[in-house]
Amino acid sequence: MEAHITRASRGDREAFAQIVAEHYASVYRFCARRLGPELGQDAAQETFLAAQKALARFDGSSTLLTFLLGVAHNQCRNLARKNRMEISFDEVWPDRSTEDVERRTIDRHELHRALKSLSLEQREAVVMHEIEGLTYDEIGAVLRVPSGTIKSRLHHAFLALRQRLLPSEELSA
Amino acid sequence: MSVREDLKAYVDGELSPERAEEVRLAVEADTALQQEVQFMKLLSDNIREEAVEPEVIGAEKALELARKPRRRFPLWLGYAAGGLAIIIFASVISPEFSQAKLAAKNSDLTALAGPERLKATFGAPPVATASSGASAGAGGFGRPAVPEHAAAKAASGAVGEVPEARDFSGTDPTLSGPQNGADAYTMTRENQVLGTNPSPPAKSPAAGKYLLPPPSNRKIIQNGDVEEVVPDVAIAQNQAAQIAASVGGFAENSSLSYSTQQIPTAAITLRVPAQFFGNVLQRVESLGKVTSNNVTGEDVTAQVADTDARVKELGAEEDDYVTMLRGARSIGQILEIKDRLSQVRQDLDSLKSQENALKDQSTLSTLNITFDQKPTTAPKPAPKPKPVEDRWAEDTFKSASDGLTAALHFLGRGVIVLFVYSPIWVPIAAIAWLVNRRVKRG
Repeated sequence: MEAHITRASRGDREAFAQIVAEHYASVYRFCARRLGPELGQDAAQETFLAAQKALARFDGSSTLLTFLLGVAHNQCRNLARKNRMEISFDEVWPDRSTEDVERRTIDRHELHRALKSLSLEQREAVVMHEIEGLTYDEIGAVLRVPSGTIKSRLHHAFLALRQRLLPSEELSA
Repeated sequence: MSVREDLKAYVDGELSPERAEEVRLAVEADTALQQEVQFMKLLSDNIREEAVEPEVIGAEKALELARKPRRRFPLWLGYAAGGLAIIIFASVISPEFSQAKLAAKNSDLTALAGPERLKATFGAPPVATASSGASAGAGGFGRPAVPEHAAAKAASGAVGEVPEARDFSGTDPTLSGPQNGADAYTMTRENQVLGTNPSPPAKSPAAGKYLLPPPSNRKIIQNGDVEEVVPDVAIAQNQAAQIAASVGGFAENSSLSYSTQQIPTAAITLRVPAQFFGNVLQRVESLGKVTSNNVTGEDVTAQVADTDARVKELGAEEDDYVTMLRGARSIGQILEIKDRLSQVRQDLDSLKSQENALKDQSTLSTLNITFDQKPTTAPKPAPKPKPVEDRWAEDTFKSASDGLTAALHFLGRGVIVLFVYSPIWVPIAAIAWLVNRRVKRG
């Protein structure tokens, strides 16, 4: 893979196409979760265009996916700003009809409401860790914040979710 | 840090082995913590289950874009366009910037007084001293050094109070050297614009450096006209005559008159040996404040030589006629020769007197001086310029403010030019931006 990166950074289009083929789905999902399918597609394409230029700066200190998601994060923010929209992660947990609801340990409606009550940073951390499967370090690299901050955001996010979903319980922070 | 705060990181496997072990032991010992861990795992599972996985679209297009050669704007064309833009911009802007800087410099020069201004304008002029009388300008033409007493006085500052602001124009004889025939040089020194307060004269050892005496082997007629304001015209008139006498010269003419307001004016014409002309001029100038000074020089060496040759030629012709007269046999011959001889002698006399006049004028220079009485209400003395070392803050401030003015002028000019040229560059920039966007989006 490193050979692909080196060749792609030197302008080998076929090597870059291989990188796109391998990471497009992850990058697209990352963007689509933030901007929706249409803008997510634009953002993913912009991400790879920008990454093609920036690939020479990739030093291998993180994974290529983390590097691409870092670029995608910036592209998403730029596109959201241009389209005057806010990244809310609403597309991640869409509302469901009552017919779909089945009795579970955790009530789905409550879970959706609880997730939407989180702050944007907390929701972002939850999405990146629980859904996109990134480690704390990787999230920190993408968002350019210390991993300790991500740990804190996730702790408080889960605390808030627990308080929301189990209000009768006495929880100490 | 409490165990509960690390519980989520423990569940996610993000703790260090040591901390993870501590948390594990704590969880094993506490059922409440165990329940929390269970709930977190359940919550994570539910969050993942509830999340909608977006269907991937646009992969083909992205691949196509990745394989497509990028339509890059040629780099050399970019550099060329940038360079051209800079040149055009600079050509429009730079004259204004230069003018602004020049104006700032001029204001600096205006602020400087006297010798400093001269120095700033022309650089440090050569200084004539007793030891270097035949200085750079004179050396090339084998000029003699300044007479010792004159140079010594100039160096000591005993004489040589010269007006501060001087503009020297014309040809410096020490630099240009005499040409064939009668070459003239003029050095005009205007102290101030009439009607303004004259600056106080500054004593300078370099005073009179432009007034080196003419070389002894050349015949130069030097004339000078000086106007100056003195406290007492009569005293100044006497002092001027004494100065002339001290170098072997004399006062040729002298007059004293009064205006209708009873303000006296004295005029005196001095004839002084040419080699002391500069010295006398300096000493006369030191009597008061010079308001005008005009010195002219005319090299008549060639003229004198020519006259001398013609005199010799006519002398020889005269001798020939005298010989012929002695050998004449007829009355007619005698009358004709005498007539010719008479004409030759007449021409000879005329040439000799002309030669003598030239020699006299080049031997004795003429200095016309006009003394005006100082007005009863003394003019306000000009503020004494501070020493350079005391003015560093002032100079720095002025320099900085001039620079700021120039920079603001430059920027203002740039903004105006950009605005005026906007009908040209705005559409180009808009098209370039749109094209760039289209290219990016494929």
